[in-house]
Parts: sequence; structure tokens; C-alpha cells
Amino acid sequence: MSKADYYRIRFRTGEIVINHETCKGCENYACIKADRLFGTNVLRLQDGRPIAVVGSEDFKRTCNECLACEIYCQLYGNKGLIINLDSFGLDKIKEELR
Amino acid sequence: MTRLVEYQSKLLLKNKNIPIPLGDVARTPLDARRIAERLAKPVVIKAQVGVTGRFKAGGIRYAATPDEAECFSKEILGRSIKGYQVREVLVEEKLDIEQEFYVGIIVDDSYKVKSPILMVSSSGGVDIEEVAAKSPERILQLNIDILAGISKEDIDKAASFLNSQPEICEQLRDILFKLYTVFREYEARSVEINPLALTRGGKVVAADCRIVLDEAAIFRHPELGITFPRDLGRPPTPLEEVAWKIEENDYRGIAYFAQMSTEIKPEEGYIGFHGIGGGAAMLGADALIRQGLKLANYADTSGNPTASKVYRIVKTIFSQPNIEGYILMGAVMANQEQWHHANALVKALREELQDKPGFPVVLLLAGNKEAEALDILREGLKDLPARIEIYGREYVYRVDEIAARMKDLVEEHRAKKTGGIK
Repeated sequence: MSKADYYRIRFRTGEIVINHETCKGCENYACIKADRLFGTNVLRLQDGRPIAVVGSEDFKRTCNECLACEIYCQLYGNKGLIINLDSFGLDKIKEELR
Repeated sequence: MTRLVEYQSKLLLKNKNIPIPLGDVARTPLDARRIAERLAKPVVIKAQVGVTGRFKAGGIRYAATPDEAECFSKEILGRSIKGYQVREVLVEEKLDIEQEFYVGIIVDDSYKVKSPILMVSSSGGVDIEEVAAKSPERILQLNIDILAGISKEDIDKAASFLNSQPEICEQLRDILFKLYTVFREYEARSVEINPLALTRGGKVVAADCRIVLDEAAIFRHPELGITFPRDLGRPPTPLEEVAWKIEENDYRGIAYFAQMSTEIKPEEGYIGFHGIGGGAAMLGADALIRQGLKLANYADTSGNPTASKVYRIVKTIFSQPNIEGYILMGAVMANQEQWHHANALVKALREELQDKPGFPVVLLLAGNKEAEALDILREGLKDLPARIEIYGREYVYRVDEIAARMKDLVEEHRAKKTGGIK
């Protein structure tokens, strides 16, 4: 599966990227559980794959950017989900300051 | 708070037809000369920086001729006044002043007032605080009902307090009413004209003006073209500009970041400081300074910010070169859900600390969802090579102990790096 095929859903200031191939065989789907506890129930399972409950526009509005789906996936799941947050130019400035 | 410089403030006055001196802004000495030639009279050259005491600092000069205007502008432009580099000067006609007043409308958020106040004084041209201390009888202060607006009675009272001549009084009334319009329309914290000059020709003119706007309202005024509305007392650093961009269009909680020092060399004892809640953060900052540590920055994430905002502030703190430690000084039983801070910290620190073995990190986090938050931190950070200590509510009033631990960790880490401790 190429990176281009990853499932992507954008929230207000970043995006969730999921490699559904990696999710196959995940035993606990920690991302979904984390979303239920810390987030706003914006993720659900469909055929063993975590996807957004709502459409892309509603997702931007409803996701509370708790970051928990990534942390729980990385710590307890199959490490198939990451969050890319908009840096607002910080990456570039950090490089310049080094 | 967003402090406008003089010419920006005067532009707002001009928009409401409050009389201001003739003049224009110059960015080069040649521009200044041309403005003086156009005015064809003696002028005053004023450095456009948002600080008081410009005259004493050499930022205001009187020029009798265009030659002098060019020469004095050359001296003022580019120099530093109280940390601000002068990039613009205001070249204005020199007024022939008979009397100077002070007029101001200021938000008084003290418990007893909680409203704007109209303050006027017959002693203008000097600091109003100085007048209040030496001659309080020369100041009249009236509370304004924010819902009803400024009353005609109050305006009459204030104008008569300043001058008893009917034609002068009429001009003062008009200016006071318009000043309140400026205050409301631009959602100001304060608008002050000092001095409001009565010229020998009998005209009342705003000779100098200072306006401070509410930074939370700046987004409603794109016409002002303000890109960095925070008042730091100096131009923002690139990291501070980024921090503002994080905050600019996202009002979910506060993410504040200001650098205390930008030229940090290795092993100078600077640490990245991250507070929660202004008062508690100050308490923690003081404790760290008492320990002899230096703060590279001051940061605050409170008001229940999103984890993404907290993450970005932590990343911003870590972007400062040569910091010797990071401390989250949450010295308050915050009612925000602290697990969002915990999740943000785990993501940010897992990214930042992988290649920093032994790097000192002290985390004090207390309040709502504290137990869960501390579990997230312990679990999420346990495999990192850094030296991380996590504290909860039992330490919330023991900031000196937390600060002492920070200092110990910094010294231990420094000693290890230099081979002092094996």
C-alpha cells in the first residue's frame, strides 16, 4: 500500500492519516477507544478499519483535536495511525535557529 | 493588548473628525524633508515607537527648516528607543500651544469599577500618574455605563472642568463625544490624548495620542492591518510570531509564548518554561528564578486549550536552542481537563526527547482529570531516555521544591555531559 492510498481525514489544524493495512489484525483498536474517552466520537470501525463517522466538513467542526487516537494507537495498537499537525511555520524557523 | 503607535492612533481620531496636527509619516530622511517642505512651517519629528518618554530618550526633535527635518530624522531613524528600533517618524506641524489638557477613556477592570472611565485633567503633557500623585484635584474621573454609553451630563461636566470658555468648551465636548466613539468602535482598552492642546488661535487639537486595543478583538478589525497584536514591549521574535499564528484563528483556550532571551549560549542555566494560568505560572517562575535558573521563555496554556495547541506550544519551547531543561509548572488546581495537556505532552516529548538522553524534564500537572492525566504521562513517557519527573496535586503549593528539583536535574545533566558524574 503506498502512502498515497492511506486514509486521510482533515480536522481544523491538521490531519489524521491511517494505514488500514496496518490496522488489519489490530486486537484492540485503541484509537477508537481513545476517541470515545478523550475525543468526540468522530471515529468508528467499518470492516475492521477505523474511519470518520461524519463527512469531511463536519469532521473539521467536530474533532476536538485531543491527539489521543494517535497516542493510543502508537502505545497500544498496531501503530497504523498518525496525526500531522500544521506547524504554522515552526519547522522552518526551528531549522533556521539551529 | 495591542498598542498602536502615535500616527496609527491619530488616524483613528482623524476618521472620527477629531482635529489632529497636519503631518505625515516618513520612513526615510528624504521623506521627512519633503513633508516639512510641504507643510512650509516649523515641524516636530517624532519617533514612532509604542513607548512613553520619547522626548527624554531623544526620540522627539523640533525642526525649524526642511534641512533640519531631514537631519533630525536621520538621527532618529534606525536608533533604538527602549528596545524598539525606530523605523518611522511622524513629521507634524509644530503647534503654538496655550494650554495642555489630558483626556482619556480607560477600561478599569478593578472589582469596584468594572467599566470604562472618562478621565480628564487640566494638566496635560505630563504623565497622568504624576498628576494624580502630586495634584489629584486637577483630575476628574467619571465612570461610564457601558450599556447606556457616555452621557451628555458627563461630557458637559468634563468639558467644563477643563475650560470655562464657551467656545473652547464646545470643542472639548465634541472631542470627548467622538473619543468615546473611537473607544467603542475599535474595542479599545484605552484611548488617551495627552496633550490635548489649546492653541493660541483658540483651536483644540490632539497633539499626541495613545490607543491600546483589546487583542482578542483585533480579528474584527482587519482594516487596521495588525499582524501581531500582542504587546511585548519590543518587536516579536520569529518564534513569537509562530506562537501568535497558533492562537490567531483558534479561540479554544490560550496558548501564549514570549521569549525572555534570544541569545542563549550553552550551559547558561536557561530552561524552557511552560506555565498553566497566569498567577500560578508567575508563582512557579519566581520559584525557578529564586533557584538561580533563568527562563528562556514564558509560556501559558490555560482556559482549556485543545491538545493540539498545547502540543504546538511545547514544540515552540523546544525550538529554542541551548535550553537545559523543560518544566511544566502547572502550580494550580486547574479546572480544565488536564488529560488534554497530558496527551499533548506525550506526543510532543516523544518527538523531542528521543535524541536527548538525560535531558531534564519536570512536569507538575494538577486539577480536573488529574489521575488520568498523570497515568497518561507515566505510561506515554516511560521509555524515553530523558530524565523525567512527574508531580501531581500534593506539590501544587510546593513550587520551591519543584524548582529545586529542576535545578538539581539541570546541574546533574550538565555534570554528566562534561564528565563530572559517571
